[in-house]
Amino acid sequence: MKKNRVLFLLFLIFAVLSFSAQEVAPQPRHAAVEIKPAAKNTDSLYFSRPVAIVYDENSLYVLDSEDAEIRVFSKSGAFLHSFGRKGQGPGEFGMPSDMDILGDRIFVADGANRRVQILDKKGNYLAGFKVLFWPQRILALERERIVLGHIPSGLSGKEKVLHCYNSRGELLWEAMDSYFSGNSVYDMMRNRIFIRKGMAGDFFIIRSSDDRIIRRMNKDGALVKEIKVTKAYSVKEIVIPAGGGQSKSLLGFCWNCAVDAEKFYLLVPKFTGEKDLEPGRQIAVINAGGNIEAFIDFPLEITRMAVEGDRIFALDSEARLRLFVVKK
Amino acid sequence: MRKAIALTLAAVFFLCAFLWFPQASFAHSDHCYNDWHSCRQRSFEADEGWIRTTLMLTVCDIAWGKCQILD
Repeated sequence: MKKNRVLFLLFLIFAVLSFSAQEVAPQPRHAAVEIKPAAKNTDSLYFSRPVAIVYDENSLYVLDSEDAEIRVFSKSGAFLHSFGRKGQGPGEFGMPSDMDILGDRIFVADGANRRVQILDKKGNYLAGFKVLFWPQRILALERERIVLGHIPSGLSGKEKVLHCYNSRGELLWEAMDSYFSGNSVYDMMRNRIFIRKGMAGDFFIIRSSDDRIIRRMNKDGALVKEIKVTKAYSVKEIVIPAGGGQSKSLLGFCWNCAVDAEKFYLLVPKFTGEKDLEPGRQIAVINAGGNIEAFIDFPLEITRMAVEGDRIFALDSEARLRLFVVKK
Repeated sequence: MRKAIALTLAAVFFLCAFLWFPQASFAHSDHCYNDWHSCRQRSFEADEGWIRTTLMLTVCDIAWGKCQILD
């Protein structure tokens, strides 16, 4: 009897020790080292209001919403060419908000023109269609399966946030209800999402606040899996003035994110002196199980990024394009 | 006869007024709505802190209300 008690006690101590060791196990910290861009003239690396950064096998594409243009760079940072201008005609943009690349085509969410434009890689117009909302996010799963995300108006109850069209503008499906509380400012902050491509024709939905769940959706808009990000990844609570003299609490999850090789790269927001949240200098690498694999530290604040293996293409808080390599 | 003419003119006047005013109002509300969306989008893309962003969004809402009342 006494022997059993001792064994049980030993087991208990072992369990507690192993659990606490798991909790405090330090995550590897890597450094993002900046690569000097190949361009001698760095003017082209500065943008007015860059909103999206994507890449293909050879090049890097940055969409500038204010200048309504797409600038193309080599992956070593040399400026190659640009296309697009303000307007409503083919190949022209009105406050474009996002873009994606699939094969030899570029898909642009042409925000203020409330349409999608499909261009070749030289900026020539191939196809397009109008939508009834301001498209804020775009993801081309297939040529005939274009997923759009929009920020709901917050005026008339819950709205569908995701809409999938073919290249002729025919609606294939709609998914995901928006948050609705009746406070348009608060709802807008909570309904801010990122849509990122998966490796198996699927995609991920990541919210910037109030939710530590990454949702894997299939190409028909059905929820396949919910990946709960570990509590070791700390969300930051802030109190926001939500209009009408109201204050609301918001949990800051990530400023921006990227997905590469089934890993999630979450840009960790940081606190300012005024208890506000702003872009940080750290990325948390989250694996498919929702656990932290590593942290990547940057020498400066970054706002948007695209990840390709150990290379990170990023835009800093001064809207400048920067290239980094992760040193382990 | 006079009464009939007066009634017809009044009917035509009110018909015109009713047909014209709602159109003008809708056109205007459309412009206000577009501006509101642009304002919200700019606030979101400004990469400002979240409290600042909410303040900017609040300003967008106020401007939208003002646009609808004044214009």
